[in-house]
Amino acid sequence: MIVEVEEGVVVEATSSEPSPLGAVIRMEERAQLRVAIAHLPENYRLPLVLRYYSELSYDEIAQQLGLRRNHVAVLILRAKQELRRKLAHRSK
Amino acid sequence: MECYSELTCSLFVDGELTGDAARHLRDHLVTCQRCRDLVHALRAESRVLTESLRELPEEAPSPEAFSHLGFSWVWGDLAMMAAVLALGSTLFIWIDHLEIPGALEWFNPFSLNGLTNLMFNLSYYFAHGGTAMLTEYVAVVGGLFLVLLLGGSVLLLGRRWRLPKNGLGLLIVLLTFSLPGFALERRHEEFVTIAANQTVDDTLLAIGNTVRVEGVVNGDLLAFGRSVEVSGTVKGDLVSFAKRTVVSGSVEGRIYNFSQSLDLDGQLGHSIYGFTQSLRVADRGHVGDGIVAAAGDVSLEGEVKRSVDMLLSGNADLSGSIGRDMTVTGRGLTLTNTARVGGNLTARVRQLKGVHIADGAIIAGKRDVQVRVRKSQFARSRFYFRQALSFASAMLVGWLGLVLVPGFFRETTQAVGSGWRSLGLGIGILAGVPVAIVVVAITLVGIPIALMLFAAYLTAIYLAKIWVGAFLGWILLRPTGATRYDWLLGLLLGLLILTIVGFIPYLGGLVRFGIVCLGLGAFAWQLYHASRPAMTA
Repeated sequence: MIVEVEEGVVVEATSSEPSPLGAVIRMEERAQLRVAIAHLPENYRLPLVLRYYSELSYDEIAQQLGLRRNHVAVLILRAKQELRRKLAHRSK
Repeated sequence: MECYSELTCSLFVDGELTGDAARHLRDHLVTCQRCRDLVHALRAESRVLTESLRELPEEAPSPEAFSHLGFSWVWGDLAMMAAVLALGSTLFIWIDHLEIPGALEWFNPFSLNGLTNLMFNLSYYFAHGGTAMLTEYVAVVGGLFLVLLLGGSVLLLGRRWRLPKNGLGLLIVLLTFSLPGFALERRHEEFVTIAANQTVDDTLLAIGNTVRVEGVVNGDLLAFGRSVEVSGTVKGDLVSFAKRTVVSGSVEGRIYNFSQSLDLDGQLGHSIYGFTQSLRVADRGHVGDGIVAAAGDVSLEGEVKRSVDMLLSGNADLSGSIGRDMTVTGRGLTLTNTARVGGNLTARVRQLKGVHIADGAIIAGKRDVQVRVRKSQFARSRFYFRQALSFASAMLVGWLGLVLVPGFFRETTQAVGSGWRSLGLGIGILAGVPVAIVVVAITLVGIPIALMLFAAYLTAIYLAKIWVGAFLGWILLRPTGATRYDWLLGLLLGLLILTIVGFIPYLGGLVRFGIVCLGLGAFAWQLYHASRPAMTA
């Protein structure tokens, strides 16, 4: 299902092959993901959101939050791991 | 070559790996299927995260930290304001349609009448001084904040909708409770009259300049007006908000009175609960139960079957009979020759010369009349005991807050720091909520909600000083860590300072007022704020 292309193209690729059910499922999944993000502990959530919503670099995030860059990298990784754990748990 | 860690791959995917490190990994990927899969999976994951978050502009974690995210916040807030204003205008049209009678015109500061009143009072106030303007001001601010509160609550509910099933349950329970409130008959005229031959089977909500019941109301009577007269029969309770309430007929339930004056000249089945300037039970008046009242002056000429408890700013005159104890705290007390008290008489008065007990008066139980000497409160040990007690309880509440809702508690404390915003919001809420409570009690879903709102209001006022105290202590100590212990220490110091400052004459009162406003504002802001991250799809 995942097409290995640049980000902007992915959206077009999926929307050009209309699959209403797939779209609903994807929407549902994204909603679940957002809920999971909302429930992350703040120290995980902030870097994650800054990276993937605000699209800041690790350095910028580190500057904003007053952390070291390495720490930011670890926090983002942990946030993702936590999300995986939560979502895997939910889909069981 | 050894495989790379997930952390490194993650850095690579996010474009954070530069120079040699990136080149080495890229080379490694060519040969290692496992790392290639990992990088692909991480890429897909990043994309999903970006897409998901992009659908939700408000998923900003904290507005202060990231100024450029502030835009979505501003838009969100503007949208909320717009929604609230839209809701507000609809509400006011609706309130206008209610045709609030003259006696309650102050409720409606947005009518021409209310506005001219306000203008008049404003000029009068500046010309003569006085408090009339304050009333009008409270009405205006109250009206505005009522709208804000209503809108805010709707938004809060909407945002939290997916989360609290309990909340939904609570709402259902509330609605069930208030359903009797719906099963009522409404009368909305200048003169609401239930004629002698008329019978109202439901609860009657009567709003008018004059509300007169000569017939029979089988349910409760909720009356708002300049003058409320019951010469007929009310089988349920009488709840009266009026300038003057006269009961010469009979009320078989209780009387809850919020009138300026209440005269009972007839029969009452149960008790009187009253906040009133003047309360009089005339010689033909009969109270089947007791009286609990906070009043200016009280005159009891008739009969009260059980005990009477009163907190008065003026005098109590008894010439009738009381079945059991009489407890009075007030300025003075007079018992005439015909007075009868079936139990003990306990009185706390300011001056002994304010007490006149005629020789013919009969007191069956003990007579205990004491003068409350107004010596400085600082000279009494009880005062220190009470302060210590309230201090300890505030600390306990603060500790509980820290344990139960640490995040909310700390953030509210920080929100106090926003100074003017909290202060302004707080003043508005302080003035607005009581008006909202009254309006909710009469128009919307009924008294249970109003009571709960009132309880929440009092609780928030109490909590206000804890937050302000914690904030003050926090500023002063500026602890390096943020452990619970640091917070409690800050709270201790802050509360101590606030308590002491609060006793400075004049300034202390102002400080206390400021504290309540600041705390309330911070609380409301945080309540609004806290609802944001919970926003889901």
